[in-house]
Amino acid sequence: MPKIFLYLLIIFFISVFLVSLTVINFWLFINGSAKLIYIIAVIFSFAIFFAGSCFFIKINDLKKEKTGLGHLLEKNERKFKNSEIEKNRISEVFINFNEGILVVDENEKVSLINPRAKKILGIKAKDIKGLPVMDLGRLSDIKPLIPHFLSLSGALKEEINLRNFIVELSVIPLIFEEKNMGKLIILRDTTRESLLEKTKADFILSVVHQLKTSVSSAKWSFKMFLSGDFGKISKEQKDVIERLYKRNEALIYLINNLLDAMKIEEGVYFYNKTLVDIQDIIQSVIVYFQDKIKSKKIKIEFKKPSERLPRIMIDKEKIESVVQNLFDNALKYTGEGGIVRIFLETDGKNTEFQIKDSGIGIPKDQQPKVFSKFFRAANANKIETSGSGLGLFIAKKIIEDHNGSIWFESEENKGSAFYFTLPTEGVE
Amino acid sequence: MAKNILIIEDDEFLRGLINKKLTAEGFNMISAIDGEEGIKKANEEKPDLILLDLVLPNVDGFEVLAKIKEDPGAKAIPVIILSNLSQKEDIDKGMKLGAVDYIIKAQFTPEEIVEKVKAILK
Repeated sequence: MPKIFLYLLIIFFISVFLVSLTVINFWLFINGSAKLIYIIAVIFSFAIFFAGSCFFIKINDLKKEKTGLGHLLEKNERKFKNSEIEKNRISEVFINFNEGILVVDENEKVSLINPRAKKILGIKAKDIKGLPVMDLGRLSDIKPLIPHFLSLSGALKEEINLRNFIVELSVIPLIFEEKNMGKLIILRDTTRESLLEKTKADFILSVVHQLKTSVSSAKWSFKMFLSGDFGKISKEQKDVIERLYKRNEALIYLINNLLDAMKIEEGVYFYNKTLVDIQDIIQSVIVYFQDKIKSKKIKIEFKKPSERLPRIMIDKEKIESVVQNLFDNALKYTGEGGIVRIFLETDGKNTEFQIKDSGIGIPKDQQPKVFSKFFRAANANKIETSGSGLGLFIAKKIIEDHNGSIWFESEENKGSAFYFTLPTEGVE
Repeated sequence: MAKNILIIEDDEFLRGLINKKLTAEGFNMISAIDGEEGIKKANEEKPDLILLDLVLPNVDGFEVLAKIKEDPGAKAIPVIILSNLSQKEDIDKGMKLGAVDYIIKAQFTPEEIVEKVKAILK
């Protein structure tokens, strides 16, 4: 701004010169040596100069404003350009996005649709913007989707079979400042995934079935050998076949567990609940393990409640498999001559089962993983190499699906205690 | 007179074992190795009981059961399903179609199967 200062300095000096000229003229006029006309002329020129200066300053201000406005304009232009680029970018993403996107406005009319959505929906028409969603059904075979497009409920996710596609549909309401702005509909093509899933499941089921056929024929053959259907067998032959029979039973158990774990993962693990006396289950499991109990000389103590507990609504077979699994573990990991204690009690609301052994226990650092799939503790692996690590995973699932809970307390080399509770609701 | 039992089972080994066990118990065994043969023999031989596998080539066991129950000449014959399909849906489906019992092969011994057969034929 030095130029402006220079102008102001000049204006200042001229002003000083004119003021002094006026003063001198006035003084000369009082002394009678100057005429009034001189003073008037000086004052007049002073006024003209003053007006000119003001005009000059004003012009200068306007100039400044003009450059300011220019800057603003430039800035806006840049902003506009940027937003244009941004818009194009979003539009490119929208067009090339690999999932179908359809935006329906608040009047149930198509407001945006990307090429992928058109392909999935089989829409051939070029421009369908503004078309009522109801009319989409006439354009192609998307009738089953229309109710979902129009549904008033909140966000939803569903898998739907179309003629050529299997689609996962997500409907998200668009709400802006509490105002309904329509819906965002995302169509994900899951055809390939679904087919792969199905192929995989079918393959596993077929393998499992073949395995089961083999183990069944082995089971029946061993049993028939043992009952003399193929003639008399020696003591040694009988011992070997008995061991084979047990191995085979363990294999059947493993196959069933694998199948159960698979069904749990798929979310298709079903229950058949009836009123059951849990004490009967425990007693039948003790009978089931008699041979093992005797051969390991393990002492079993069953502390029954003072009176019979009311029957509870449970899946008998599945709860029995849980008790069997916990019992099997207690017997497996308790040394010869050990002791296994079972408690059964109720507080009215819940029935609690407890099984406590004097076995090898679970190392502290491995305790958090006890209920995870395929987990086996290091010390357990040393004692018993066979074992899938599925038993407790399945047990937890079963108990929790019965609205109960399962937990344990354990100390390495001292023993473990496993507990589960089942709600007594639905009693007789 | 010895009672006739029709076994519809495609696995030759399993079929042989059951045949041996039941023959030894005094039953007269008739075998069918697939669904079509099973439906035909149920109608022609009029057995006293049918042991039916579910996973069979061509016509599966569920269809065989439905066909037998539609056949006026065979629908009164008790059918025991003998299968390794152990899912609840399969068991429910089999029982709904009119089976008298459902035996999961891997969970039963031949003796237990004989007991079930005897109980039904009593």
